[in-house]
Amino acid sequence: METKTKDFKYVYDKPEALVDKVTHYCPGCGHGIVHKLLAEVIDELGVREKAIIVAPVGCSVLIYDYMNFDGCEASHGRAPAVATGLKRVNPDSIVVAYQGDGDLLAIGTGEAIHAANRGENITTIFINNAIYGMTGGQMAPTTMEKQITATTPYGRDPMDVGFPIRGCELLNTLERPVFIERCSIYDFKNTLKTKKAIKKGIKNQIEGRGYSFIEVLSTCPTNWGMKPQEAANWVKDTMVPYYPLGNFRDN
Amino acid sequence: MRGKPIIDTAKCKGCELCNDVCPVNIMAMSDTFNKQGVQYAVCIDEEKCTTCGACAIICPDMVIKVIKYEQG
Repeated sequence: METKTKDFKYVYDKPEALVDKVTHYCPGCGHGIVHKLLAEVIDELGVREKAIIVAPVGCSVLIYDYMNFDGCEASHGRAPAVATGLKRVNPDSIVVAYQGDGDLLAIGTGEAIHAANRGENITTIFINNAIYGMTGGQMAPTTMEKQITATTPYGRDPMDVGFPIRGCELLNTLERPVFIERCSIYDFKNTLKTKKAIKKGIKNQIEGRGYSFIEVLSTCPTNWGMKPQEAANWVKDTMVPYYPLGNFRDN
Repeated sequence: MRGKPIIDTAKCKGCELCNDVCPVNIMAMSDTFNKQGVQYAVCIDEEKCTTCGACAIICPDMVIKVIKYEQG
């Protein structure tokens, strides 16, 4: 065919900031999508040489293996504290704290809130998949009401363990954060919005404006016991009504 | 033919997200299995591809690249 000999250009190519290897994530895991969006943004802003990713404890604990720039591992929940140190010592670097829901809203709530309250010039990407993925699907602070997990076999009872915590609303009561947005990756359109939010968060950091917080409603098909597309629909139908998408602050 | 997706079948984990996201429904799963033991994504009609890149953006495993042929 004649068309096959034609020149072509890439509409979509692998970002340079992403290492070309098979990840350890389950099929359909939201982490893969967010890693890719972050890598694209780092490439587009041309900050790969200056970027440092702070890996959390959770499924994304090996994120520095998949990113083609510097990384640092933090203890469970302490990613904002490690990111604070890295940023204060290297003010020119671009520090991204990548955290899950157990990391940011359970064991690391104090660190997350105080880093935001100090207005550290870092970007936090918060992956909310409503469950502890790495340890086998236990209840997280963000687990939905009546959601069945390994530790809530009859569904989460808010009268016993409380209601899910809304991270964006919590941080929105503080004065210093400059950018707070909740987005999702359950479909194509929202994935593009997520990329836009991450880009804005990292741009804020380059301009030295202060703390940016991006919450991403993600999926965990394996621990939810669903197919990846069903999991995406579950985010849309169950999580989005409780965790409304949108921008909370953009100073 | 405007372009087509290029699929790295060995890396595909068979999550099927690309099948649902494609606006012209040309992504499907293969009948055979790759080395990871899963049915991988295939493009069943490259002529219809609009090169929108939706499959590539939604793919969690960086399996799909999309190319567009230059005009003329």
